[in-house]
Amino acid sequence: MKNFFDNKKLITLLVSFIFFIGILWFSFSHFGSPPYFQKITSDMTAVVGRVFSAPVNALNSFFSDVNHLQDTFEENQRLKQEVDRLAETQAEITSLNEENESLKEELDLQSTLTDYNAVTGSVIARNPDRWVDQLIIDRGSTDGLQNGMSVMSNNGLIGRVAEVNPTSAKVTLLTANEEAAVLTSTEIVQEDETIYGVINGFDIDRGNLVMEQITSDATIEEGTDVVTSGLGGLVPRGLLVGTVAEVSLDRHGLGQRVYIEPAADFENIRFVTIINREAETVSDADEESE
Amino acid sequence: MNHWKQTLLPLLLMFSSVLLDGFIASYWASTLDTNIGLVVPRIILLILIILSFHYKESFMLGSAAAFGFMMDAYYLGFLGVYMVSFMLVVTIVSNLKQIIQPNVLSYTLVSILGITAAELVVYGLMRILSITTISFQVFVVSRLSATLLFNGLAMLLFSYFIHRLVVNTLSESENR
Repeated sequence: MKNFFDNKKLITLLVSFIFFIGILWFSFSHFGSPPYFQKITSDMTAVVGRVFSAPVNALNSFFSDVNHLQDTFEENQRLKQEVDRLAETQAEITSLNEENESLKEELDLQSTLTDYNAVTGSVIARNPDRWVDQLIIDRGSTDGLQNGMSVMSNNGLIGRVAEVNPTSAKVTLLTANEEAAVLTSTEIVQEDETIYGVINGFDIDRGNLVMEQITSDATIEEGTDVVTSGLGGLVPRGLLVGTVAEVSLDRHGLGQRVYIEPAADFENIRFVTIINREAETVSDADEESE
Repeated sequence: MNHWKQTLLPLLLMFSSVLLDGFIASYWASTLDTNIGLVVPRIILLILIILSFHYKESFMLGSAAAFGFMMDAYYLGFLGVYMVSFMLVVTIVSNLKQIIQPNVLSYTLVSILGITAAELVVYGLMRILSITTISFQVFVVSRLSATLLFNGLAMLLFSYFIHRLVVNTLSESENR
């Protein structure tokens, strides 16, 4: 027995094992709101990480601009046609805005579910092993970011802010695992009816988001846009999630299940837009009442 | 002067490789998702393996813990996963270096062993934490094989240059 406890390596191993279990349990239970020293480490690494990402982002933009230069003539022709239509659209927008403002005043509305501020940022790095598919971006709490905010890229919703440090943040992608996209409330706007549902997960094999809890039994057309409904959380209304790829029955055979082809390209994310909803959330309202 | 150079070189190499892994994963995301599976860049492990052949075990264990902590904080958001796997790899290499001479071939063979051990630990922890539900067979086929192939090749191609850099720095310090 004495020899057993005299074994220095065994005791070191045991102490290390307990230490790692402890640290893993502690940090996993504080996921999203890490202790200060962890935030500082993450932030300092991100600052140096920009040394790698900044020149490549600049080079990438340069080559992208050169590519666009080749299509300038065609683009110019198309833009001229669009400019002709623009004056008409502008007049319509102005009158709709005025109407909208006067209606808001009449209803005493501060901000609607569709109102939001956007903060743009660039991607510094991505988790190499993608067990937790996260991006590290160069915007943080000093730019007004908060946990749970929606993040867009390539014209589609890509994920949520999972951890905020002073000058950097982590974004968990919707496709990170089966649970990452859970509880994003969405809607499908069709001519006759708006269909509401909740994204309940991500089908890794198909590469599609899964929308369930659809109360309507209306026929859902494939190819229709799916957008966020702004009901609950920090997500505003009207952010494009993707398009309807397939409609089937859910696992109980009682409701509809919609497979959504994501609008964003998750493999090629250089720049992101973080969406800050203006309308108050449930937590804001709770804080005010307290 | 040269003593701190001897200490600074491994730290710089490890820090750059931590950043390089995330950078590769971000900018070549679609390229790394190959037909034979997902390639996980593990430059940090390759560097740790080469350095473990030349530096003291205690120094390398400390560095593995520090850079594992950095990887955990920066990429994952919770601690312990990379710390454990990096320290395990350093322990394996520190024991093996007593019977293996450092050269390109031995580096490559040890890297296959080390990366397999590290990936198994990371996969095991992710399963325990319910972050993934994929089976062991799927993990081996869709992740481990491609990762070993990519990192093994990288070790075969670049280990000589890192080896020379480390050996030169160490011998320079000893001569002074």
